[in-house]
Amino acid sequence: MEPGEDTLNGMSPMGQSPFVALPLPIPSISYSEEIFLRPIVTPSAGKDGSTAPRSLLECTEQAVPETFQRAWELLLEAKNGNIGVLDGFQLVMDTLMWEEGFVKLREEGDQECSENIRRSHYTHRCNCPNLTRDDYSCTVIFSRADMARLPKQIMLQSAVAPAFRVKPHPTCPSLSLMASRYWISNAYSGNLRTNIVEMYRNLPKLAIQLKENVVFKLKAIIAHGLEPPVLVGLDSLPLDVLERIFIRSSLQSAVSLAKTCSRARSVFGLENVWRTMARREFDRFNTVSDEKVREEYGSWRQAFIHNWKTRRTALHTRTLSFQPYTNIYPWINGPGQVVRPVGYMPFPNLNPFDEDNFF
Amino acid sequence: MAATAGPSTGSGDVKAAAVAPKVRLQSGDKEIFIVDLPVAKMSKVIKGMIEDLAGEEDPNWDTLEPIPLSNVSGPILRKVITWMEHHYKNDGPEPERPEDDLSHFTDEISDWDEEYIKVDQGTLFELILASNYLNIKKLRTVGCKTVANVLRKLSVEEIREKYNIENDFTPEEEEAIRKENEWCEDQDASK
Repeated sequence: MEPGEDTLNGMSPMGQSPFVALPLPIPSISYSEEIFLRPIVTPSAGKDGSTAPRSLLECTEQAVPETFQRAWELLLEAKNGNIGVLDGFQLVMDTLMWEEGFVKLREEGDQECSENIRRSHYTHRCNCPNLTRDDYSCTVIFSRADMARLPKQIMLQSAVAPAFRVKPHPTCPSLSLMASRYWISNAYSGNLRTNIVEMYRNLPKLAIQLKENVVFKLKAIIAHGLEPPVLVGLDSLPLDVLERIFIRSSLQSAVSLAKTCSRARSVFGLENVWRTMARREFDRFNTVSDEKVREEYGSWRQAFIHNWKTRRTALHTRTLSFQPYTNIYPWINGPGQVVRPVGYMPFPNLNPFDEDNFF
Repeated sequence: MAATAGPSTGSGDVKAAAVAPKVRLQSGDKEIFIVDLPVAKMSKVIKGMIEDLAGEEDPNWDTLEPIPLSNVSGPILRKVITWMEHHYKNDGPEPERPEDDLSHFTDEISDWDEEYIKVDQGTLFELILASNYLNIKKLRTVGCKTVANVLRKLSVEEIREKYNIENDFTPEEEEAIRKENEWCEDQDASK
């Protein structure tokens, strides 16, 4: 499939809409108009000649706001016509956020050459004495997905400020944030210079999706009593819960989980995780104290690894030494011929010289 | 504040319902649930709160203030109560066990719990958080087991995708963690 091909009918390579629907309906939250400024809509002359305010949300397949087109041309110029996947998406995102009253504070790119991930920090231009600047700031993270199944897609990973993710207040808006990862159309894969027409054509749909899935939610969260969502990912769970998940996992699952992020990795290093795993895997540790383990192995992790390796070696050796169909009856050396090993009598009550006693 | 009747107790619990006093639990979004006292006490946190509120003497349960559970939303608290009622009726109060007791360590989940925990990922996380906050160990274990069982089938990248985990490793850290776990790449010694 050629880049962009699948976007012509709005379908993803998986045959599904690239715009993933929320599993839960967005609750109808009437966010406070006092907290937020009205969305900033840029008056611009559309192709129909009207000068009515027009935002990205309002753009159609025929008419894209001129402000956006100008911004696009500026970006093309700055990048010498070579706009990357994330650059194009970044421009759309910034424009949408700006229309919603969010101003970009800064942008962090990870490895300029590979451009795998972007973090954009925005803050709202509202002026509310009760709120601190952090209360109505947010970070949008999006990255290029490198999964084999879903190539060249952009993943909008999180639209929630990191500080929100650790606050332990389950609230209503959290329900609308449960699925805060959206697969965005891969309209922008490849060189955007050649796909600019497709990008324009997809803008209305993309803009609406972003409005519904991201911007609306951000406003809902912030306006709804400023109570943040509980979590957007497994790594947001409290440490002790993560620890229990590790304890309940198989070794392979635990290792995989530890490789996902630094928080999981740090939990995987906890003594209790290894103690439980060691006691579950090796019965001999059930009665061994922490002090004894530290004295003998240094740590529970080392104890587990040492015993695991030992068992693997033993198993390996046993597998290699196994010779099938030999020595099943060691006292029989052949038909009718009996060899009695020294000091060994398998069936002491049987007459070893009677052939009927052998089967 | 609208008083909401809690989920009804089962028919087999009539005797208990007739004699057991009831407590009112208030969710974070101000919903009130009326629950049998012994059922509510399956949560160690609620048990502690009741003991604090009741004091030494036998209180008048009807006039006792609702127990505020601000960290649990109404829909989740309703689901937690359903779990507590079922298990109280079928298993009785949860026995006290030390944290490191492995004698009942199993990966299996009962049929009822398996059906109960068939919820979307967000609700599952909320249930785990609620059970953790309310200190209902058995329910928390069911949630953690469910997540752990799903993990078995997933690669690192699939775990990130499914559970919305941001990869915050630098390439150097990724290399370091790969080396840290090299010892178990070959799995033939695992049980």
